[in-house]
Amino acid sequence: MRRRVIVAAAVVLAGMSPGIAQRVPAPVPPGQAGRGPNPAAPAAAKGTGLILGRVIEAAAKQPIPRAMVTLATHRSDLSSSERVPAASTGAFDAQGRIVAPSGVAASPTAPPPSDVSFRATVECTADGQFVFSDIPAGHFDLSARSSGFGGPPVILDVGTGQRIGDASIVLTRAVTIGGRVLDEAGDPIVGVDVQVLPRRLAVNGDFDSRSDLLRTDDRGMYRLVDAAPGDYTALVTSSYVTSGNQMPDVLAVLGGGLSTSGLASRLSATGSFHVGNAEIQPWGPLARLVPPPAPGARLRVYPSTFAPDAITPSAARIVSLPPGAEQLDVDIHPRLIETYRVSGRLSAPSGPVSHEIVRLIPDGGSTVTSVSGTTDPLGRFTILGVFPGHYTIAADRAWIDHIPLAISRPLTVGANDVDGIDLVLRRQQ
Amino acid sequence: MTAASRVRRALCLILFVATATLAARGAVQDTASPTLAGAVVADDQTAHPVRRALVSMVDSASGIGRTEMTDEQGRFSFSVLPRARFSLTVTKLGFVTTYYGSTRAGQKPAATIELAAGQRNMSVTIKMPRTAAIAGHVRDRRGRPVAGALIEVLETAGPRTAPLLNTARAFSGQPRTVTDLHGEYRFWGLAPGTFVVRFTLAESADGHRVTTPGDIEWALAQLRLGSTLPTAARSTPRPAAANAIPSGTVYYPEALDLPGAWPIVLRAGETRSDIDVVVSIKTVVRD
Repeated sequence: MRRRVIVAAAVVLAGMSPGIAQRVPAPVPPGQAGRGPNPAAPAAAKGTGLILGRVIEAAAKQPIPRAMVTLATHRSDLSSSERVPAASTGAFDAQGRIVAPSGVAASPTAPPPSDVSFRATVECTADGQFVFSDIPAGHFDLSARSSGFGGPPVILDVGTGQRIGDASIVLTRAVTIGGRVLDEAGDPIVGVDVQVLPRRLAVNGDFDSRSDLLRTDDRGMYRLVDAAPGDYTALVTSSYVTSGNQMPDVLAVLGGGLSTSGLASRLSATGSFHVGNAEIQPWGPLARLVPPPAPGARLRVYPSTFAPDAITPSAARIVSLPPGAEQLDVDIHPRLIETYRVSGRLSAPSGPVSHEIVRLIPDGGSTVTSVSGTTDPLGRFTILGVFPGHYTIAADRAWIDHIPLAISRPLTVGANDVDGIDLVLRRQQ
Repeated sequence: MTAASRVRRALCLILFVATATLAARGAVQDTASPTLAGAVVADDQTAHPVRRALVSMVDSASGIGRTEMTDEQGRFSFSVLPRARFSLTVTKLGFVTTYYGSTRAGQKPAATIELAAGQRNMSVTIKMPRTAAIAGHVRDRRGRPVAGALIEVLETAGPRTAPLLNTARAFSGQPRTVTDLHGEYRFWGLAPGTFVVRFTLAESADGHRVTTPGDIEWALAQLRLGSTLPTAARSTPRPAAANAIPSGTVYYPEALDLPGAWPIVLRAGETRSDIDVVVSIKTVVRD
């Protein structure tokens, strides 16, 4: 026993001093490699519990050899940096259902995070068996990872000195989803972000819950590996703005498609660039187009687009992926559509309000992102690139004489420009 | 969602039209100004127009720049001052950043272009090489994919020399990449050149314990003693831990240091998709 105590002391020391890190108490599984060890991890708590178990494939009930198994104190507040990438899109929840990628499956009964945490990762034997020993009493997540497989963590309680001999972790063969994003000329759209969405999220309009964006490569290709089996679609978020009519056809390309590193060095001191007679400032709160298109001219915009070319979730291509399936043809073809202009004037009881942002917030369930404009010294604003639809137009957080003022009201945009909106800020209750 | 992606999304599709500073630009479009017109095409047999590329013109005297985006036919035009001296640079993801008139793809400096006295118009065609890519797998000695391995691509001066230049000039995509959960990676955006590839297992720390048959036997023996037992009653200590520790750095194909790395020569637009490495996992037995 004396020897064991010495080892425990060495663990604590190693946790504090990287220089003698013969044993760091919290090994990081390969799935989290590159994210770096968590320097804030507290020293592992020690106990006398024991778990013997096996990792099994769901369909054939065969052991999965050499899987990596992690036993960790259950936490309901895992930060995104602690999550394995595969678990963040189309993750498997504790019931084996696909859950929202933001990890909303956290158990509502989870105890509050404890200062004392235990975390250990072991590699299974060729028979898929694993052992954890010296486990303190507590509430744990037991999870396994093996390339090409995925599954929910097993949540289990270990009493003081308890020995569990039959823990099993069931993994399902994971799926791979990918495709290309191609513009109207068939050219790849490079460096744009794609979301792979479980159908349930797409149908519910829950587009913001994803935490992973898959950036297209030089072929315009994106790919998500090790996702849960299920029904999916893919969405590319609108990032391009173009114009028609009196402007050159392509007026601006914002966001994706431009390399931020390359772009920053290429732009002038103000960070703007020109297309024909228009100056485009694509970055920051003063992003703008000068001059705006002439009245009647239409900005043509790539809307947020589901595979293959749908702008509503109901028209999206849904791919059904059984365990082990790979589908790499989920291409997305964004198409230019015409947009409209919303303009008006913002004032307070004291007069025009300058340099305030006016937002158009789309109603729920829409893939349209918010658009906004900034008022000029006369309180005038113009918002370009507005799709037809139902919105709330709002200005707020305006502190004039230390009184919070705001205005918001519904606005419907049809197939016409909407001009002459008069917004008056009011004191908030 | 990361902060960066929030920013990207916020920028999406949105044009914030600020103050009505509509003036001034008309004056610049003075019909008396000479015009520099050009087209950007892919530097390959297709000579495909490069659409939506950013063309920057920097005035040699003032250092002031202006940037235009190419249209659907890859065309652009600038109004320039009479007898202007300037340089042109073009960027587009998937293509090598091109310094017009440079002697080597992807490298500064651009040549200085000068308008002759009285010259009204000038026309240039800028050929952009496509970027090259290196792709492959990272596996351990058991053939399992290694996720999250860091990949860096370093340019060397030539096939037989190893002094490293910095990577900044070599890519126009990402400065580094990591393997996905299948151990696969694709490093794209490279200018033509000669490269070595370095793989780093960033988190190597002290690895993970490898469960052995001895561990299983020990655990079964413990379980036979009962489902709960206080520490003092434990009969035998667990066998010593065999920890597997992914090693730090490997240069393609299997070198531990730079002189052993194999240079990879890439032409414009070429993809080498067989740059696979096996990383060694060191096993350390501890008691």
